[in-house]
Amino acid sequence: MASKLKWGFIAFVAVVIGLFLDYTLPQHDVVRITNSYNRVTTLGSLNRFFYASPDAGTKEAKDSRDIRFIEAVYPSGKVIVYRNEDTGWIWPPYFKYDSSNLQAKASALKSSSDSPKWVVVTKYGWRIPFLSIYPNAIGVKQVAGPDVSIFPWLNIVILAVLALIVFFLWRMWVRFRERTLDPLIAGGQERLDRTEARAETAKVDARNWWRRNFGRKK
Amino acid sequence: MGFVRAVVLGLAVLTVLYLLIAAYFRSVARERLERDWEEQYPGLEGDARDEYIESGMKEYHGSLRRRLILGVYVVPIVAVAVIAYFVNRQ
Repeated sequence: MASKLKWGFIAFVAVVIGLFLDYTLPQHDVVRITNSYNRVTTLGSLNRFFYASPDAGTKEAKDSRDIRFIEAVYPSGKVIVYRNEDTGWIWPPYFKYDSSNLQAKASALKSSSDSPKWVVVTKYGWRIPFLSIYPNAIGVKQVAGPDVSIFPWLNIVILAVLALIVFFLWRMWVRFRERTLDPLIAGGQERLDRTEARAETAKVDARNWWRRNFGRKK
Repeated sequence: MGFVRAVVLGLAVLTVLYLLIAAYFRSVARERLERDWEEQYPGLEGDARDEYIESGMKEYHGSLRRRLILGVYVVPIVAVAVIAYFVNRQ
């Protein structure tokens, strides 16, 4: 039972970490841009978490503001809508404050299905219609055709660095336990043993005293 | 305002990281000295051993190896600058 709970907990943590990375790491879409615009958007309490803070350079109302959107079509014909927001300074750490430029670039790359221009959009985040959540576009670049595939070098580097950091933190914890915690516990254990031994002799003494004075005479 | 908050928060996090890593490598250096002593004079303890380890730690304190830990501050700041450059360039 305990081990089932433990594995359940580990699986849960692994899924949360996986989802978090899937949301945060950059991914590439090959699409054709069909429209770009901005609209006043009022964020609710459910989806506010998934939007950036107001633009890095301007001061805006927190609840309702203009957000830039980019509409696009996949080669398969499915559609996708990106938001185009500054990420600000802290999280996620894209340090993007060129939303206006990106919007201009996206507008310049708009194309019709008759003479399509295919582009790679770098984005992070998910599209969840139910919550009105959109992935945030980070960059856009024109490519030769709809069949290009992009090898995720950057993600491999990021994941390797993260793995290194986790490994190093683990090494630090092991060292801390071996050289700081264990000696402390060992010292405490010794003291406890001594106390126990003393208590034991006291008990034996008391029993003997009792027997001597009140024990049944043989 | 966001920038100021990011700088303060970032420096705080990096300082915690720096202290942790410094403690780690200090501990590694001390263990190396203890092992060296154990190899040369197995089982011998006392003032001579303490002195050997203390002088070794003093040497470590002035070493380049220890100063390299300051990279904990340098590397993320450079990384932020590089990311910001590549994300925002046209």
